[in-house]
Amino acid sequence: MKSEYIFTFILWSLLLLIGVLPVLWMFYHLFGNLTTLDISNFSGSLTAFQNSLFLALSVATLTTFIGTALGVLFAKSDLPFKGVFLILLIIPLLIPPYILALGWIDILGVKGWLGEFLFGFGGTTWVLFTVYLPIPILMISFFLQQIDPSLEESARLFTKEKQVLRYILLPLIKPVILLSFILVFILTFGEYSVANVLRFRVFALESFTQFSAFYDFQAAIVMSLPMLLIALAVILIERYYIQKHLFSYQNAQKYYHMKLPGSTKRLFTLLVLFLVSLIVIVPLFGLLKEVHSWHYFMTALDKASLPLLHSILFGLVSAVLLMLFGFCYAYMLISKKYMGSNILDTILLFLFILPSTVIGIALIYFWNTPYTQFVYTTPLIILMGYLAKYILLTTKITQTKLRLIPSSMTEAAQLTGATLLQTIRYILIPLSKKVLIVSFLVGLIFSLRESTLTMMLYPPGFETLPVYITTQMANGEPQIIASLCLLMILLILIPLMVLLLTFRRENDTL
Amino acid sequence: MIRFKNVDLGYTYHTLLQNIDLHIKANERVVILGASGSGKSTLLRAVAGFETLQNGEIFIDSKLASATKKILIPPHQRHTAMIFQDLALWPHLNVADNIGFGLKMQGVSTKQQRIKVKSLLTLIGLEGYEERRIDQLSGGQRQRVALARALIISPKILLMDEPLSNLDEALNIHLREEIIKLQEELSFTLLYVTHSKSEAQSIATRTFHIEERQLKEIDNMSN
Repeated sequence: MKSEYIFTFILWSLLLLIGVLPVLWMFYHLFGNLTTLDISNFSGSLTAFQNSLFLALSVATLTTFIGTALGVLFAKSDLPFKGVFLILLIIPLLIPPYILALGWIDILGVKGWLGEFLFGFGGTTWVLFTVYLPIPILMISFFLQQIDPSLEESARLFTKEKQVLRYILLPLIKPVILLSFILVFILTFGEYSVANVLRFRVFALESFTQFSAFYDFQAAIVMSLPMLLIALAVILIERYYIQKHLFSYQNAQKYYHMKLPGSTKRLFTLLVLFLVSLIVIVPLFGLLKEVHSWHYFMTALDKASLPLLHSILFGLVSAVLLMLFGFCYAYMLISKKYMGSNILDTILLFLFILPSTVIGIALIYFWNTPYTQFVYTTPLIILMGYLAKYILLTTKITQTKLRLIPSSMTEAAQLTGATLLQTIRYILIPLSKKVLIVSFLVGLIFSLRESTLTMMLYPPGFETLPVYITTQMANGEPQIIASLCLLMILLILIPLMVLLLTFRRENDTL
Repeated sequence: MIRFKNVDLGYTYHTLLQNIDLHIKANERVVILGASGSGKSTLLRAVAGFETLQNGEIFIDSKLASATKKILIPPHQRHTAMIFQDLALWPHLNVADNIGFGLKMQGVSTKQQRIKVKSLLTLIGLEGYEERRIDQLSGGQRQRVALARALIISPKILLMDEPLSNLDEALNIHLREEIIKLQEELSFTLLYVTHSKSEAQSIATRTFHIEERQLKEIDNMSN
């Protein structure tokens, strides 16, 4: 019993320190000092807010439509090479978004009508569409594969496959489609690195500028307020609509593939191939074209060796922490007997959807005190930011596996006198080995790609590769910047390859 | 009505049933008994058109429906209905929409659908349950909804895959009687799989047992 109290205490303390208290503290101080606020700081912010709103709506609508179609195609059809297509389409989500923007600049240039399109609403929408397209694809194909095949079979006795898709499968995943729309909307709303590169004025960038350029904390916090309200609205929609309408399914052992007629199959294959080339190959080719010599790549590697080392080091430590705490939070959610486990899910989701700029400002505001310099001036603050932002991902990944382990297994262990820690160590961890590897690799990839939070939080002398690239963008040589971007992509592709090999070796099951 | 000709069924490297030769006549109630994993559900799914045959042929109404590795008649054109072990009721549709789905797919007008759904609900004793969600029903009520959904298209063949296995004994016995009554009233061929001898005894006009990958007819259930 004592170990259970300690377990709960540690997990809640961590969550409070890395996100909940900093955010509450920040807004508590804002409302305490409203009278001293200088309104002139916000002139023109309404335009930025409108821009962000339209941008987020456009990107979310585009990704939801095309992502749903692709998700259905990948999950329910016999499209050839769909595994390869899917892996290629995921790559843009795993690299810092501004790298794709730089790739497109190298392809389209800065002048002419193409350059005009790129630098503004159109270009920013396009780049962010390519970044977030994998979200609906992954969510929809995953949920379609979770649906009990007998629900589909029972409809097949009455009608054709297309009708089953229309009347049974798509209505069943309607809440997932809505969820992916909302997720893309909020991620786009909080993203500023692409808009920064493409010189498009968005709200998250305004908030970041108030903080980094003018060092006006109060203004930056006020600018965070709408983003916080949007995050809260998303939480309410998720809690009171999506969760109620989302039917839970077991891991389906078998699911059906529609056999596409020959000509349709060829047409779809060509269309997907075209899309993959446009989204992934073209911007990467742009970067390669810019580098055009091995010399630049080696120079970039030499210059960025320390940031590269920092990236790897912080990435590895963060991935271990994300894996461990993700496991613990997942266990807490599954067992449902720990204090506050019913609101844990909401808090994790809230921290995930809260824009990085808001988390960054909150952490600085909370930890920058004379007594907590051991956090603020060390990489500990970066790790806290990574944990706050990505703990939801590793928790959810682990939860999918833990849910499949019958509770009787842990109960049987407890009946033999095993403590909580012994049950976790001897029963749950051995049964979840593979999902822990997956969780570690996902944590590593997202920590490596993170740039917004790191940019705000890194103490002097601890810059990471994405931060180094961003600083180089101001006055560095284009060839060196492109080389650094390729280095970043390579760094992310390594854990991605290991992740794919892990899946293949274990027969595609967690 | 249903004819199996030298049928082999199973997975890529494992044959579950071999050399099945069976002729089921119209309006018969045939029960297949067998242990878990013996292939009885696979046999049912092959009749529905969900499983391809490793070898052999299945005829439905004298038409070749499945041949070696080929589905010649798709499931929705076999005049077959099925009740799954987990019932497979669609959670996003209410009772009326679940039952009326087959008619909707046949293009029957909404008014006609409503009339037929209502009459079936009366038949199964669930009048007034049209708007209920599936998760608001008890186990026995769900069982009846699944039965009504299957019967609404007036199938020639009804396939039942251990439909009563999750119910308590009293309800199980009661529903067996209802199934027999409905089968006699509506005249369809019933192919029923179970591992329960008592279910087989009370429902079947003919009973078969799966043993060593073969289908063997049981002449006297008490033996």
